[in-house]
Amino acid sequence: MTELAFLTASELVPLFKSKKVSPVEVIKAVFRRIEKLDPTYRSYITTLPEDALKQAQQAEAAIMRNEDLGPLHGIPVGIKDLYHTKGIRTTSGSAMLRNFIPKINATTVEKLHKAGMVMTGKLNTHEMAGGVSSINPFYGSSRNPWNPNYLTGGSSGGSGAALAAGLATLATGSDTFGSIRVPASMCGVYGIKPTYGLISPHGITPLAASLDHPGPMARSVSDLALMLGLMAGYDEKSPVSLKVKVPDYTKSLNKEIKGLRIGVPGYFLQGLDPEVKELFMNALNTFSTMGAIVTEVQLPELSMSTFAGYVVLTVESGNYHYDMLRTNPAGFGNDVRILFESGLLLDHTHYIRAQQARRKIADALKKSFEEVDILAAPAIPITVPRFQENWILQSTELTNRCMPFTAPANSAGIPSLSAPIGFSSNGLPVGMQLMDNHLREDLLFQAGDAWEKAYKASPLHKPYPDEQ
Amino acid sequence: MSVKYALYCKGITPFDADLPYIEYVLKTIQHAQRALAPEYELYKEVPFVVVDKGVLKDD
Repeated sequence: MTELAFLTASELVPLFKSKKVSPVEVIKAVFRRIEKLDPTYRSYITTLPEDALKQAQQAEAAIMRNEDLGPLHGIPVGIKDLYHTKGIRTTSGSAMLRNFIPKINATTVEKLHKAGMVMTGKLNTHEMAGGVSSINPFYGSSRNPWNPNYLTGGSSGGSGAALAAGLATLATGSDTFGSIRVPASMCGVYGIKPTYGLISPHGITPLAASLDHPGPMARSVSDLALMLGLMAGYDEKSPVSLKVKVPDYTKSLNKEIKGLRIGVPGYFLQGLDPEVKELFMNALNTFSTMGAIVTEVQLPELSMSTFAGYVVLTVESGNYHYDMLRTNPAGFGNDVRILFESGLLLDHTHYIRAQQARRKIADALKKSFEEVDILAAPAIPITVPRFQENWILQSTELTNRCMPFTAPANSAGIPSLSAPIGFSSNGLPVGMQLMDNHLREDLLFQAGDAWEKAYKASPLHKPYPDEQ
Repeated sequence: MSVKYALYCKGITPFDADLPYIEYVLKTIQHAQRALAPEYELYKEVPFVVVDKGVLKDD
């Protein structure tokens, strides 16, 4: 039963279609694990065992009737609790929204339902997505399945933990300053923050609207490609939704990367933990042995990313939550209240300068893609931290450490895919990010898939903790 | 102006325990601001772009 819970969607779909495995067997395996493991990992805020079993039974019946099946027919999917789900409480990780029952589904949730998902529940998140630790004083902090004494990263920490522990096959996330890539890196799973506006944010609680990127998380690049294709697409309900044709990203898989030009900005090689640096250099060597051309590129404009990211994040989130900060400040957890109130103390000069810096960063990145095909960097510069006593300081400091590495892609709105590259000496995963120009997710999937195959065949790769 | 008074001016009654952390965040931003070198001529940039021209090109 354990094995079923760790199969990817790309593996399960043909097994369902050929009637070798039933969605009911899979959902029962997943919920048996949730019951046993999630009191420790806290990856879910709300589980839906009865609804999920009912959906799986309906999926099984449809298979037996040989009906046309959706691309995610019967696949267990966990939804980050920032995504509104009709009739199912959506807390956004906040105590103030403990009893909030949305009247609508987020556009993405609607799309995933149409594709046939079985929704397992609502995944834990840093409160209002306002941090990268997933320390949550209200619903319990999600804990890393590789070692529960360590953080999962956030804000999509529940998504990262659920995937690493076999408590969901796929998960949704959202990334404003690393909230997909940080937990993907810390939990040893895959995630993509796509081009800004490629996935509609309609029905997802905003953090900082001009930086918010919803996206998929999974245990393989092929699952990311499958899921992004289903979540993406124009949505008239969102003013930032891009009116572009969504390609079949799975066509980018199983391709060679010989001749692919990979640029490594020198900016991302500064201040790295030595273990992160060693694993990242090893990943670059592996790309070279696969025929890619790896070169260092200089993008000094990226040094403005921390300022741009921090200012836009705090000003926009502070503004969004302003009324509640005035009327019910005690309703917020300490760390997010501190972050949001900081933004209220910045002025128009900061915000406009930050937007101008974003333009410079975006232009510099765009120009770099005339010289190279993709950019590579560590996802974050540090190894996974242990839980510390002063959680407020830990959350704030973790934002400081991650922001320089995550903010460039958010500021420019370019896609960035996070993939595991090995383990540090504390036994926790380390990840890298691959970035590309707007709407070039196809190339990221090509490179990410080639990397995953090489990595999984290498001695650096380990099975997930409860898979062993 | 103190952080506490500045927040009062915004209609917010801050928690005293938060103040050192807010100062810490503001100092981080102040430090990061040093990267805005004059040679980038940021003042020449249009501060808000509704639809990115690079994305439009691919439509």
